[in-house]
Amino acid sequence: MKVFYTHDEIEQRYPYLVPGIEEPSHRHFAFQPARPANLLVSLDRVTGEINVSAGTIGPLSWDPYTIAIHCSKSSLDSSANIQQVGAECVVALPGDDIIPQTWMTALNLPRGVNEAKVARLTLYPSRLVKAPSVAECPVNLECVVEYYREQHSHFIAFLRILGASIDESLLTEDPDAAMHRFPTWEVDDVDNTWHGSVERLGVLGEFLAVPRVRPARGWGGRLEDWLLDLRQTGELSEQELQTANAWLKRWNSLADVRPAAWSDTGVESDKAREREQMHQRITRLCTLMAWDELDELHRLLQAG
Amino acid sequence: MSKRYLTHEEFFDDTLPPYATGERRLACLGLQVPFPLTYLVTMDRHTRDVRVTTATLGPFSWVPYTMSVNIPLGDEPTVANLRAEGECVMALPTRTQARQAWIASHIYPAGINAAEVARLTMAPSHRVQVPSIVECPVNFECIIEYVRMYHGYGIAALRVVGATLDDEVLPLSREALSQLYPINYVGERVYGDGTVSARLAMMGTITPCPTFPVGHKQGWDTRVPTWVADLVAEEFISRREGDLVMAWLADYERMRLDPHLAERQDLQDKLTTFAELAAWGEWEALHAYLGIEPPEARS
Repeated sequence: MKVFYTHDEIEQRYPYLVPGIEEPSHRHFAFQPARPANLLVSLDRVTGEINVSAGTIGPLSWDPYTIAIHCSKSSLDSSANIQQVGAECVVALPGDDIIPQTWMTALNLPRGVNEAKVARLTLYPSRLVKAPSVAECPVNLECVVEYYREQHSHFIAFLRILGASIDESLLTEDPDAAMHRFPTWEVDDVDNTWHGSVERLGVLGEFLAVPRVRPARGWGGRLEDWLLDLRQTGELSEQELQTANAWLKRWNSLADVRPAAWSDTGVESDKAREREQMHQRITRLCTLMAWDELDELHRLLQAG
Repeated sequence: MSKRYLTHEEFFDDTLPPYATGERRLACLGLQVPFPLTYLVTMDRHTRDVRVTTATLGPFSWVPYTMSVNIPLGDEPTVANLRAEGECVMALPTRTQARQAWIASHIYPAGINAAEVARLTMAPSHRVQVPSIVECPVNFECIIEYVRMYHGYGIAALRVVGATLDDEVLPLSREALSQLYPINYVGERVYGDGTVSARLAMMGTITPCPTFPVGHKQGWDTRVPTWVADLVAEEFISRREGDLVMAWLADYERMRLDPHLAERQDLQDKLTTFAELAAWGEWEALHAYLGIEPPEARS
C-alpha cells in the first residue's frame, strides 16, 4: 500500500518514531537518495587561504562537462568562496580508503584553518586553476564557477570542468571495478551514543544486467534512429520501415490535437478519434520494439 | 600516486570510435561521476498527455527539500512541459526496473508516454495533477521552481511538496533499502557492433564515518566551541586546556582577516594543530602541545 507523506513529514527526523522501528530518522532516509560525495577545494576570497570541505554534487551536462555543487549556508567558508562567477575550485572525488579524512574535512573549523592539514591530506598544484588538488583522491576536477544562486538553505554553483588529473592506475583499471572504490556517496546518518548523527558513506556495489538495446544512439536515442537501426540489421524490412515512418509522420501531425476529453467542447472530433488510434498504434510499435517482441512487431506493421 | 593531466578537450577524443577501449576512453569513464536515476513524469499543458523520461538527479537544498534534474534540450516535449507546467513527479526505479529505466531514457515523439512503452502503471498523485508510477516505491510530488537552460540541458529545480512511499519498504534496513532503490547511472557501454547498454549500479558497502571525539557529539556542523566543550565534558582534555584553545580562538577571530599579522599565523597554526591532534585522537601529543598538566585522573 502506498502512504502519502507531506513535505514536513518527510523532513522530520526527530523525534518521530516509526512503530516497531527504533531508528528515529529511518523514514527520512527512505526519501533521500544517496548522492556522490566530493571534497571541494577553494580559496578564500580575501586571504587566498585554502579551504577544503566535504559535500555532494549533482549532474548538469556532459559536453561540456559541468556539475552542480551545493553548499549549506552554514558552511560559511566554502559558500563564500564560490559565490562569484569565475571563482576557481577543485572538486576531488574521495575513495573509501579515506573515509575518516573525508569526515574531518566536514568539521566546521575557523576560517583560514586548512582542513587538509587537519585531515593529513596531501595537496599538489593543479594545472588550470589556482586551487590545489588532493593527492589521495583518484580524480581531481579543475573547475570554474559559471553560475551561482541562492537555493533556500543552500548556495548552488554550476561548475565548468576545465581539466582533470587522474591516477595513472585508473587508465588501465576496469572502470566498473574502480566504482567499487570511488567516489564515496553520502548515504545516510545513524545515531551515536549522544543522540548525535554519524554520517555514513558508501561506494557502488553490484552492476545490474542491462540488455543491449537499440537504438544504437544509446541514451536519448530517437525513435527514427531506432527504426533505422532495426532496418540496417535486417530486423525490419524496407516495407515495414516505410509503414512505421508513415505512421510516425501522421502521428507527428496529430500530436498537438487536443484529445476529446480535454477539448473545449468535449465533443470528439474526427481528428481526435484518429489521434487516439494513432496514439495506440505508435505506443504499441514502441513497446514491441523496446521489449524485442519482433514477431508481434512484424504482425503489427504488416497488418498496417 | 602518479597522476595524469587531461584537458577538457582530451575528455572527448572524437578521433576514437565510440566503442574504443583505449586508455583515453577509460579515463573518460573514470571521470564521469555517477548519479542516482529517476523517472521524471510531466504533463503537456495543451493536450494533457503524460510524458515520462529518465533523468539523473542531484541535491539542491535540504530545507525545503529541493532537487535538480537535467533534461537534454533534444527532448523538446519534456523541456516544454517543464517550462509550461508548474508540477512534475520524480519516481525512483527499483533494481528490477533496469530495463524499463533504459527504455524510458529514449526520446519518444511528443504525446507518447514512455511509461506505457516500458509497461509501467500510472496512478493519481496527491498534491499535483501529474500522475505517479505504481511500480516505484517512492514518488516525489514536486513544484517546478525554475528551469535554466545550460549547455544543451534544461536544469530544473524541483521542490518536493509531498511523496508516497510503499509501506512494505519502511521496515527494511537501510542496507536492504539501498539494494532496492534507487538505481545509479554510471554511464554507457558501447559495443563493437554498435549496440549500447547502460551501466547501472546499486549501492555497495556502507561505512560509518568517525564520530565524537572526531568532531562534537552531535556529528554534523562541528564548531570549535562545542567540540572543545564536549572534549572537556568527556575528559579528553582538561578544562584549563579547553580554556586555552578557546582563548586562541577568540584572539584568532579578532585578526583572522589580516593574513599579514605574524600573531595571526601563529594562532592559525595552533588551532590547526589542536584540530589535527584531536581529530586523530593523539591525546598525549595534544596534552604536550597545549603544555598544561593533564588532569590527575588521566595521568
